[in-house]
Amino acid sequence: MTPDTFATQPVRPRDQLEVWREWYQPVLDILPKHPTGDEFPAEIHIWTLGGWAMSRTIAPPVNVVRAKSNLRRDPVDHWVISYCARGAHLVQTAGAELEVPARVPFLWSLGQEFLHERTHVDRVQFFLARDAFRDFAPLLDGALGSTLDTPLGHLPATI
Amino acid sequence: MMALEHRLPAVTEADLPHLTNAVGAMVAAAVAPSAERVAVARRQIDVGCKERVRQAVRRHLRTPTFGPTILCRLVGMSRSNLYRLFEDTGGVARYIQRQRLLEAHAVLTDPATKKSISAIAEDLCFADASSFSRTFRREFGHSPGEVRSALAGLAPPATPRGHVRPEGADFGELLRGF
Repeated sequence: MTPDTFATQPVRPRDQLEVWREWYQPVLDILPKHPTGDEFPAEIHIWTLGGWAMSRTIAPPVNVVRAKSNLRRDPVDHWVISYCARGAHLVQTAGAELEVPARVPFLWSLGQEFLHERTHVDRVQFFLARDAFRDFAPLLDGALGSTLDTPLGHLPATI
Repeated sequence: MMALEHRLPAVTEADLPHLTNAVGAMVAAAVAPSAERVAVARRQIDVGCKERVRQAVRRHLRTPTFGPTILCRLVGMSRSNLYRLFEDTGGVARYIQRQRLLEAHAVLTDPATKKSISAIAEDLCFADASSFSRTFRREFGHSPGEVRSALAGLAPPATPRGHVRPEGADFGELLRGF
């Protein structure tokens, strides 16, 4: 399997953040943490794997928002397990607020509003389509907005 | 997850159903109820309360008289309970201010909004533009003016998207593709 790749490096530094923001529209709003004239070298590789996808992202710090307006424009509602090999998140979603350090997986959903404030990351994510994983819906919905910081919770991070 | 990434080039279409089943089983084990999750469940009660608070704050970001006292009344919660709920995030007043700053940041970075910085400060109940700018800088590391001028420098985008990925899909298209 080969990934789809999107990277900002081919464009001139002052335009890198803008193309990164546009690429995520309308699913996510990317809010810069630094003056937007700075360079923004970022890349994402996505493997779509039949009912789920896996991504690897290396990117500078930003705040990431999925607001009601994003949900209206693109109602994708996959569950997401995120794991940062490097970098940390402050997450507000599903009525929870949690600080997630590096190397701790956490579960959230694109079907809900959220704000992620994050540092520079090297991160892997699993995107799980509801149709493909519907048997696990009660478990996954019940654990939304939480870290999987238990021995079994770390399973996804170990493979 | 990193190790899997290195194995994916060798995975074929025929392997996908097995891989999907394996991922399903692993995810189920990772989120299954456990002793630790009992504590999490208990926290859900607090989470429900927090959500009510969050919604009330969102509705009243632009109400000048809005603060912890009115918030207690709106969500039917004692002041001490409200403070306990937000003590690990710096207190409820800090939470309200942070939400106002995030909203200000969103307004400033919205190219469709032409409001002046003073008007944004007033709209979001800051005493004046200079105290808004100071607080904003403390929170985000740069001033509202810097955010706005940096955005102005970006428009219009000098590099059309097509130059970057002539045939590639964007994030939403990729997520809808499976």
